[in-house]
Amino acid sequence: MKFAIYLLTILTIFKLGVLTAQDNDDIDFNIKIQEISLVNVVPNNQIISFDITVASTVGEEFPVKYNSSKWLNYTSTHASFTPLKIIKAHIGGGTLPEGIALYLNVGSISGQGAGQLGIPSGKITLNNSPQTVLSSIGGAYTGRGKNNGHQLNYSVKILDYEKLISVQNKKYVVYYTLLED
Amino acid sequence: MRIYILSILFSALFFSFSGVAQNINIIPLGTGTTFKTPKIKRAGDDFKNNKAKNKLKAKLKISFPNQFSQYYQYWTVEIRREDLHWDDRLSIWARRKNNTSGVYYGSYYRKVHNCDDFFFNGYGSKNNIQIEFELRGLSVLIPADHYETEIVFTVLDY
Repeated sequence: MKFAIYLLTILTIFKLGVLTAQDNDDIDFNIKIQEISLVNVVPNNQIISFDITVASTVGEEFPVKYNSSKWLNYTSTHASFTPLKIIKAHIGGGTLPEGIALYLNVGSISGQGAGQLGIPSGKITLNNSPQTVLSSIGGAYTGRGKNNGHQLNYSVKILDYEKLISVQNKKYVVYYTLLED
Repeated sequence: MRIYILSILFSALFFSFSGVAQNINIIPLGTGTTFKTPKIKRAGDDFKNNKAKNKLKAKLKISFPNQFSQYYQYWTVEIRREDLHWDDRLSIWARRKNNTSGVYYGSYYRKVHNCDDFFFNGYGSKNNIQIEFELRGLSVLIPADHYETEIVFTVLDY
């Protein structure tokens, strides 16, 4: 009987150790994260109007007009070893009347975004040539809607009264493009 | 004489239950092996819920050559991840999808780590244990690239 107990003990040790059998199999999974560049101005259902009429008091300078109602939202992915991205802005739909300047100052990031968000370039004078307004954008998202992203601060100033001519309401579009630097 | 008979019986019992060369097979089901990124509809958003658009499914089969083991052999399945090209912010979660008799645990999503973790256990041969996989942690903050990982299933008898 003792012999049987010894044998049982030895086998138990074997069972717990050496003789436990195993096998394995595997499955490969993959995912591709694509390049994404999305940019939007919000709220996008309202036109910014600058009413450039004669000053109320004769002889006074026309006051600078401001508007900061719009925000710039964007989503960007970035692949390693590729250039960071920038956002450029330009005016479409015609040339501004002579003697008038439209300025844009893109604010610093605000809201619920994350990642490598853009660095504002400071105040620029908008024209028909695309100019960088944000740089060093990597993988990032700003959050969506007002108060998320970068506030767009527009201002209009009369630079040269001599060149002013009377124009009817004219609509211009400011385009924003997110692209590799 | 009785001692020897007992000894032989013990030995026979132990060897019938231990090291019985069980076999495990994992086969992807119709959904394939590629997770898809959801489309970002509006600028400013990240991927919705930070999850892949689709879940993937696979069928796991455990078999034993020994007839006795096919019905009574207890086993444990462990799971681990072996990264080929991966970003640690991405994670794979797995769960046992269908209710198979003689299989226990594993019906809730668990994160698959880089080391073997207990997944579920049971007894006897099973030919259709369905496993569902979910990819979490997906974000535009992760560099745009093609990522690949291997999920390894290990069956151990006991």
